[in-house]
Amino acid sequence: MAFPYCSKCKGTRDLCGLGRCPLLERIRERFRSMQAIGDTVEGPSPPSVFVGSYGHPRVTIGPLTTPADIPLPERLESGTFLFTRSIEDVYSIRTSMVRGKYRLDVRTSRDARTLGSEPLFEVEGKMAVRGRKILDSVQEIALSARSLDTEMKVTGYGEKGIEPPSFDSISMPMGPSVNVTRVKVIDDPKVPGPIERITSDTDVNATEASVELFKSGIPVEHLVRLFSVGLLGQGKRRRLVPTRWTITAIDDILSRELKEEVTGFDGLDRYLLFSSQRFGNHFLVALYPPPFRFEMLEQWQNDSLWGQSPVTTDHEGPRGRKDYADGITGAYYAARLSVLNYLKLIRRNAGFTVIRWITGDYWAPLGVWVIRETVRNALGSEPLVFERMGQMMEKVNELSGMKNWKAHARYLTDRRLTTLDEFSS
Amino acid sequence: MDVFRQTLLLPSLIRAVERDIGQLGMDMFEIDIKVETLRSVFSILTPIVGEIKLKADEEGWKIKAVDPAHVALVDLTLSREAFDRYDVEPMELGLNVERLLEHLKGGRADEIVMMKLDTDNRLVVSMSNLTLKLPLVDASGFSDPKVPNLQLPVGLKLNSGELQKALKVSASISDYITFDCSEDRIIMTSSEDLSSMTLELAKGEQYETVAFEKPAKSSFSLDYFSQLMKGIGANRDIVLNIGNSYPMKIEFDFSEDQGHARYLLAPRIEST
Repeated sequence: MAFPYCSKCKGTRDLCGLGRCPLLERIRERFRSMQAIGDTVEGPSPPSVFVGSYGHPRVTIGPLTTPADIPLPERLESGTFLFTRSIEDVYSIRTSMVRGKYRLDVRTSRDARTLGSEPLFEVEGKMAVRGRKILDSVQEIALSARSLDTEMKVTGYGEKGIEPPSFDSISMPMGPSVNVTRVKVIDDPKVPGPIERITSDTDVNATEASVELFKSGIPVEHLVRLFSVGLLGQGKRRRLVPTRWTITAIDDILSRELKEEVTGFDGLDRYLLFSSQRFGNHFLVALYPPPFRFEMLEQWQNDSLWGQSPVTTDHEGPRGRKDYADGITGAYYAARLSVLNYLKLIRRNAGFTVIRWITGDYWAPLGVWVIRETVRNALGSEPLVFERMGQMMEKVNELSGMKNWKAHARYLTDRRLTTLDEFSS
Repeated sequence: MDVFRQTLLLPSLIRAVERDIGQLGMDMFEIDIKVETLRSVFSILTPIVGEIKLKADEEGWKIKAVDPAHVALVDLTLSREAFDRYDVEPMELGLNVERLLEHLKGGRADEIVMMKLDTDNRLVVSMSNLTLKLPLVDASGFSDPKVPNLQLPVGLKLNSGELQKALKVSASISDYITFDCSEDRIIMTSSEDLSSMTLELAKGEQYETVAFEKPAKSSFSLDYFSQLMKGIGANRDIVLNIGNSYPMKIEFDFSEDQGHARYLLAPRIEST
């Protein structure tokens, strides 16, 4: 059973005051299978790293490695691959990875290249060397484009033994976590040229660095890894950034850049409607002529993970938005990025509305990559084409599983914001 | 055919050469102006854009700019009488007005600002004992916005405070506002779901008619409209022109009538 505010919290804000989210706890129970695993964990990392947000600015960092023998471990981190699996599969694949944890101050990543010569005043004595070594290894894993064989030395399992698998609505699910004192990378990382160049540039700021890497074809997942372990940005300003925050930050940085480019293209001259669904996430994506504007409508339905929710919306006009989209949160940024990517591909400027409704089939949260991938999938399919807004709205009405969308849509209406160009002939 | 192409190229070539020559002599842009005047100019521009192309010639300054989405436009002139000193030969300058406005906040209203270009082609701004050197913005990429020629049936003269009143209330209700102009009344409405706001202005009381051909009705995005109102200010006599689902035009004078500004805003329309 869910409280009315569960859809707002999604296990991240402790609105019920029960501490651990009971809804997530119930799902966690199903995966509590991992037993004690000795004092070392050996195996490939896809590569994958995680920076926690709990305790910020002293956060836990470490790699995710799988002790299991899995062919092509790169797939464990790839949204495109996981997208083709069932929820059960995604969970069993992802929870096969053990997450190493070591607590460090976020500032310790400052100017990673000269760490060896700088005293780390945040930590003392022997710890400094240990922390620095772990950070070095984690950064090495983050840099690599191929999987790396790694070895983690486990100190303890905490009071309650191994921490059970963890997951939330933003990041990919992860297996049990253990405290580590040593992380050793056995292979040599394979670092793509642009990454080598930009991570060693300590003058370019993190935003520009991310944009440049994205333009040279580095996947979003890799960017998130680099950003979160503090490998991007101006030397003195480099920080460890919790993975959950990084995912949204990267989505936002990249879509701001794409928006600049897209608004310079010719306007779309008709109305396109796309749809797709995956893991009980249903999407309708409606594109219409400029000016640029974006709105997203979201509703968790009766038997879904967080129970019935009201229709939640977030939007931005042609001028963009300055504050955080705190109604829809991370999904807003993920959807916006996917649509802008598409507009760049077809070289058209447009406004767009994304409608998402979630049914009971989405019984465990998988992270915002699901939104990114499903919207991308929708946009890869054949659209319905209309000549007029009214026609498209009728179709949306027919297809939408969200019944009262009309009352909440701000741009997908028969009122339309014009541009001055339309009056200048 | 080749000859034809060359003649077409010639004027732009001459302009390019003229510009290069212009950059050799750096002392041709030197002005003194009151902080207050400069501040009004920039604060009329910043609601629309952060960077502008300034055209300066014998008559004064001319600035036209459109926002990135092409929904709102500003067209501003400032006559040379507004300057205390004006040694300028015709030229175009790219300025970051958002940043300049920020810097001007520190100055007293009646203080004099001196602006000129230095030999590195930077803008030097001096106020009493404070000197700033700022890089120019590359203006070559700025195209001149097309200003639509609008024939609007209704023209009204009123104080901007009347509009401000409507704006304050409606922002919490909806995201657009409708102007419905009849012979002797203007009704501003804003509604969504069950809430609505209505503000009525009467002819002869809150406004004077400048032109009236036929009734007119248009709706506008409040997001944009409130930005324009920031540029206009709370107490200024303006002329407002409205059409039928057509852009609105707002004109007003500033700095003792030595400056003139015009805003255009595209409407929100019911599409079929």
